[in-house]
Amino acid sequence: MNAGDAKNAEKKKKESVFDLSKYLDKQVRVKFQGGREATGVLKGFDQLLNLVLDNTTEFLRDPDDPYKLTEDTRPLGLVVCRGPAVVVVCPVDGMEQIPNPFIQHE
Amino acid sequence: MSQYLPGTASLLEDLDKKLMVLLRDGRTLIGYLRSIDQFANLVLHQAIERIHVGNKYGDIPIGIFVIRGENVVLCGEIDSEKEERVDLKRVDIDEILAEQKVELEAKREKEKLRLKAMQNYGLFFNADVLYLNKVKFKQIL
Amino acid sequence: MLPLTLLRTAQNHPMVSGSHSSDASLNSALISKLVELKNGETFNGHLVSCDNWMNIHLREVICTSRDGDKFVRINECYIRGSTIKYLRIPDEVIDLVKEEHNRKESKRPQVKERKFNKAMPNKFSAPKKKKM
Repeated sequence: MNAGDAKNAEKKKKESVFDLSKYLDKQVRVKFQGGREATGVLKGFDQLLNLVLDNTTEFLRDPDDPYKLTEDTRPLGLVVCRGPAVVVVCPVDGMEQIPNPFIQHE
Repeated sequence: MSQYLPGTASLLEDLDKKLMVLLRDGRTLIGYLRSIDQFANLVLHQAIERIHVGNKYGDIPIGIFVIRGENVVLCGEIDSEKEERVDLKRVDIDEILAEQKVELEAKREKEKLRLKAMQNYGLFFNADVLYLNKVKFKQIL
Repeated sequence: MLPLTLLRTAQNHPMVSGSHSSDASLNSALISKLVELKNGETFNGHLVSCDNWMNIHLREVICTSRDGDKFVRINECYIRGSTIKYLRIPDEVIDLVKEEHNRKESKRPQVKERKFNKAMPNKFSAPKKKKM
């Protein structure tokens, strides 16, 4: 490893892994602290993971259990998501519910 | 005798010792402490999750574990001599999981009732999530 | 080896470019991990990268709901470090750690020597250079 590489590695360490530019103008799914979940078209973001989502839909939750989603949704339109509240970001493309994949191991 | 270091640094004394770690969600983990950092993140090697129900217990092997420090309630060294003398019965994983499930479900029901009652008084809060999961620890990495 | 360094080792390892990798071994060569979040959800997937905040980028993820009754497959996802409860990593990583350690150890004497020689003639100009 030469000096330049070491420098790059150092730089990389300090950087966050979030590379959301590839999701711009794509549908993303976002989970929030506290259990809310929403999906929308990613219009913008910043280093702190604040997000701008357009055409956002929020998934409503079971009133008895704030972590359980129901089938219901509500439209939110254009939304700014606070970075610190964002837990998970993933693209909707390729997301599918599947039966228990771990059962075969039992 | 080395000098006692206060705070997180005191964990340095426990390196490579067999530790029991209690997490905020109620799990008990046991393993060899291999590494720590300034946030008290822990690395447990040859770890097991120990489930106690009544005077029975069961161990689930889980390999290497990196625990984020903020989730730890307490940790302490295990005296392996004394450990053997404890009057607890070891049972196999399926049995303990079944018993744990019963216990947790009862706990949850109770918690639900409590929450409902609290809500009637206008108190809303997110009860810390008690875990209940048979499937997850059957997963193979 | 700090906890985060361990994760970084799991990530930095040339997981895909193994010389002997057929498709099957390629899959197992990727470091697969299990992450549980504070809210109880678990994510199984291949670790692509992680950073100083423990933020994590996973590929080919299976997300399991808190109760273990719902399973969702996701191509990739980012997880915020501060929401993680713990990570489970496969035992092989320890071997990687040792490898990495040995590699660094074998490099170290050279670096020291250079540092030493440079530092001797002029103590005050050396510090900045030797870190590179």
